[in-house]
Amino acid sequence: MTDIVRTPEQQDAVACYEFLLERYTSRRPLSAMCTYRFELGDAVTQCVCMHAAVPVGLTPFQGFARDDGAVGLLGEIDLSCQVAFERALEQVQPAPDDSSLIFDMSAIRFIDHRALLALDAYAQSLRCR
Amino acid sequence: MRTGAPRGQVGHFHEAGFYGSDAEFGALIVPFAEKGTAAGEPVIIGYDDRKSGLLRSWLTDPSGVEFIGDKSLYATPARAIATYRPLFEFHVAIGAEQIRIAGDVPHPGNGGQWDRYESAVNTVWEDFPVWGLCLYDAASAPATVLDVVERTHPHIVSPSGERRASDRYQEVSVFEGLQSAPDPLEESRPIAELVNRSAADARHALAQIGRCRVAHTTLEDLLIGVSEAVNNALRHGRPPATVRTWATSDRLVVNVHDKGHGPADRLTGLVPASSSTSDPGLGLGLWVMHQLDVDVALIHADDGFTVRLRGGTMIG
Repeated sequence: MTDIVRTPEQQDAVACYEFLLERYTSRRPLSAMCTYRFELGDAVTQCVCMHAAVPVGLTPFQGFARDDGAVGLLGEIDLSCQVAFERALEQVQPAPDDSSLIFDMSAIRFIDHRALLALDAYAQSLRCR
Repeated sequence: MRTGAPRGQVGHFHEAGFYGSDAEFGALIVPFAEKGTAAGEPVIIGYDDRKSGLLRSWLTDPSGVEFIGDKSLYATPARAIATYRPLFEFHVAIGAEQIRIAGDVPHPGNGGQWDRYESAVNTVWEDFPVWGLCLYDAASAPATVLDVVERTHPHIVSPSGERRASDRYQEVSVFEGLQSAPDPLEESRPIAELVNRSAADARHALAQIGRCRVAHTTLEDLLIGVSEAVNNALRHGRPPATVRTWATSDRLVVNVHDKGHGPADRLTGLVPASSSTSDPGLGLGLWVMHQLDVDVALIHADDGFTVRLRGGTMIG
């Protein structure tokens, strides 16, 4: 995957793809393994955080599509990964046949007010679409 | 039109009175409340149960007074400001020309930044036609507190009703607050010290140290506080950012120190910081910290700036 996430535009596109692929594989008999080189730095977080299965400690948080249609949030979200979280949210989208989108935050270990405000802004933006 | 002492003035009329007995307390608060209700002005009282009970028994018609029973109103200065503001907005929206408030600012020790609160509300409530009457028990309040009261209230009233300007009043921009007393634990060697580590590392260390020492909710508040303090130190302070933690069986003290000067704004933490950007989360960190049920102190010193967070069984 490394060579197709060199630029911010590529990273956003691939992060979106990763979210949709996670949704697809969560409901169908398909498994996929995505590999990224560490040299990508923050781009690794951007793309890897959209996966349900991630090596421990690789990303501070995960936000991924689940088989029940919800978005699972895991890990810790604070100022240090605020930009990555907001970029991840931009790639999250409800399934075409779902009228609502649920974020399951029961496994979040820490989330600060900035991330909560980002979630609120995301919800507001969905209403405007 | 405003009635009483603030007649013809705009903004917050911040007045202090000193009493030495229940009778003197009554002589100050009863006319304040009764003349307000007679003029059709909202009168908001935030006293404890005993004083509210006394006032109810003295008033001709207590139903005209809004008693705030929420015991957490004065839990922290920032929370008191956050509670009062929407009340003021509501009353102004429905046509109030003056709002009278009197409450129990905690004053035996006047710690926990209440000195900053008494100074800050001169500015924070300037947009509202508020008459704030702050009554202090001269018999029990320490001399340092009474000194602060004279320096934070532009107006003074006596139980006999005599009014005067406080010649010792200091504007918010030059107010000299009380120094935070050192915590005795700080004299000892910290149980943990982290230098230039992430907020996540600080949270993990504190979670490990704090478990079973303080209530779960207290520990969670401390984790939010330390997270904000470390992120601020790393982003806005001057390195190194050092987190020191002390612990007893039922108490935690956490200092987050950097070599910078700290925030210059006197209102820091008491109100959300004003922001010139469109980011609604910017400037909220220290304010969020001051909403928590833990003791927060912002300490400016020659060697840098420290945010001290304390939770659990408090001493003194």
